[in-house]
Amino acid sequence: MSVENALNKIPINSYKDLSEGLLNLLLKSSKVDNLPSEFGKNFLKLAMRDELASKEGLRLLIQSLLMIEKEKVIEILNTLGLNDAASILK
Amino acid sequence: MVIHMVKFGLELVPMEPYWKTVYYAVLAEKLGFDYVWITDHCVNRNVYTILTTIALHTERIKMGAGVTNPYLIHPVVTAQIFASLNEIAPGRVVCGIGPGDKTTLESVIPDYEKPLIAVKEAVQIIRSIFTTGSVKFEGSKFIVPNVRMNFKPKQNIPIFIGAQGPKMLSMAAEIGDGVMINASHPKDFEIALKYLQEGITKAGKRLEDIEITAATSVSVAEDVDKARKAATPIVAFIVAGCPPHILESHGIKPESAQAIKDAINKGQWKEAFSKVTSEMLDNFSIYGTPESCIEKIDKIVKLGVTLIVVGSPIGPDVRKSLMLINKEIIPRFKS
Repeated sequence: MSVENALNKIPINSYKDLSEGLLNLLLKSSKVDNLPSEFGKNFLKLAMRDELASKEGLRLLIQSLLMIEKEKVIEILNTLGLNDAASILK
Repeated sequence: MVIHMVKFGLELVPMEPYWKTVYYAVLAEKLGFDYVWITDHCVNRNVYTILTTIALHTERIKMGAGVTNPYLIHPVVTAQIFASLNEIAPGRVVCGIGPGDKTTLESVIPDYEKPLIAVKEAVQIIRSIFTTGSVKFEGSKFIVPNVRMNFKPKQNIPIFIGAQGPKMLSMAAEIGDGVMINASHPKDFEIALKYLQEGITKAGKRLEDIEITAATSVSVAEDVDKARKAATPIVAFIVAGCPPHILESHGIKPESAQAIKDAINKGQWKEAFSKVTSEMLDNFSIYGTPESCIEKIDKIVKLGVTLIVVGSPIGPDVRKSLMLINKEIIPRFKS
């Protein structure tokens, strides 16, 4: 629920930059083996449709990264000035 | 201004979770790459599992094993796999086969021998299945009494052969639709092309009948130091596994390569990487800014290479480097 609330605090014009930041974090994380098996299927479906910067894409990236890189997700949100969303996820 | 009609491919090593490798393939398609190649080492994720997933998540990009070998999977089954994959991605599948990585293969099978014959016979068996749906074959490595498949590919599936030594290069040009040359320096391609010429003459083909593919080690970044740093570990492994005659042709002493190999074998990575010289980097990788990579690729293309495969490490940040290749490098070679 908190992810949904956080998403509602993110303006659409920040989607692209946030998606970039989260995607870079995901691809560089050494903890991705801890992600649930359905993550891969959902991630690829969105990547194929170019929807990683959509609300659905951000939902998946945030939900998944909170499991393995919570502090860095908060840091990215704060860096982009999305402090309200960051405080909800803290 | 550089303008040639060159194709670009991306080589991925499936060492990480499957979705990451497939994601880079999906991205490569969106960024204008023509091919994606997945390496085949039995210690990594399975090449065909990855290729199938790529086939299901892409629409245009061609894909192949880069390259499989005739030792761990019987050629009849290799043909079956590619024919099946071709149903998922019609006309987008390429069968890449070669002698395989000696070090990995020797850790699995004790009788790794006669690579030239094994590859040649495997290609004959695979091609027969691709074109007729059946094979009856008696060779010195493989005997297939008589097999008739219940299906065959609707299109011809090209067969690319990975080659490095003179005999394999000549044979690859003679019987393959494409040749994958594992090198990054123009000098290596100059030498390889002589042997390719022998093979095509023997087969009565023209050089333009085959796809001459450079399987290169690339590290591209705006910051040359970062590109060099990313290239260094890969070059260390290339030099450590390089045949002495290739080292000599680049003026690298075998003992320098041996020192790197010894350090790698002991797991002393820092020591191994510190022994990689600028000379080694220049000879065994294409690294640097997009502009300096373009210069080196251009030299290779001018020798007759028609397909550049961008291989490990790709760059210090794979995603950013792919975008840089899309923005700066590919357009310079596509008219």
